[in-house]
Amino acid sequence: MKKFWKAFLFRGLISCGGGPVVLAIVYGILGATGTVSQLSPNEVCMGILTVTLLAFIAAGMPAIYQLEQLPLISAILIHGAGLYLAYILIYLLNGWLQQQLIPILIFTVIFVAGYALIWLIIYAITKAKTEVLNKKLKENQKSE
Amino acid sequence: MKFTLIIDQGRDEEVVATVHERTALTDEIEALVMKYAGADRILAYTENDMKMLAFSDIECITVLDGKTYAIDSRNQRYRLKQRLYELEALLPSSFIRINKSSLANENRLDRFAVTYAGSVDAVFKCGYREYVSRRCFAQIKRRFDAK
Repeated sequence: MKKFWKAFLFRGLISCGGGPVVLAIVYGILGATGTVSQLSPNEVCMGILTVTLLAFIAAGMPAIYQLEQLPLISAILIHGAGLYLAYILIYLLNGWLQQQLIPILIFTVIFVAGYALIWLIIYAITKAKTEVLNKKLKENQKSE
Repeated sequence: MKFTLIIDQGRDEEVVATVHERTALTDEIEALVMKYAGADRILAYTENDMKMLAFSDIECITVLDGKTYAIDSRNQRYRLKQRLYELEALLPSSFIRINKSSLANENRLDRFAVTYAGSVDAVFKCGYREYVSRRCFAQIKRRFDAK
């Protein structure tokens, strides 16, 4: 676990600076399209700080996959749950998501569906790679 | 490729091959030399017995609770005294690392299997299974691609 926290901090610290940049781009687009015309200093400060934290968590969480003994399904669940909690809390805190059941449910469904889709793609790729490996294994064993 | 035989009673006996890459021929030469020198087996222990276990009989070597074990073709487990890194240096190249605490005899592998969790297991001919880490999976893939 020590290895995980070390990798988590390292990855998080390297990438957390990207969060405010993404926020600036989003605010820029919203401003240019006229969706948002003004922001209070409080909103800007809260936005920058929380998105920095979000980028830190999002970049640090993949360190869980470095724990070899942890089954992949557990790593996927911990990673997914960590990201989900970070996103939903920060969205709610900034008022980017309404604190009502329906918007939260819609967000949850989209998040789970997106995450499951990515997992299925990874599973299919791993299966295809394993089949290629098995074919080569048999070829190698025949030539021995 | 040329073959050179130097007979010199004043030097230690050794077989040195200069090749561009490892092939079935180099593996065969290695196995032959180890067999000739009696270095193709290792002392293995059961609870109340010990035996010389041939490398070719070993399917997997794994570390459990800090102790090194060899699993043979009958799925029997033997205790080995050496550490994994020592064995890695000692064993022929058919032994490949499949995770940070296991070595697999490539010749005794039945297949690689994807689990429902999305991880990959090495399944041996004796039925024993051991997980393959993602890092080692990539290394094995590179090794097979190079062959």
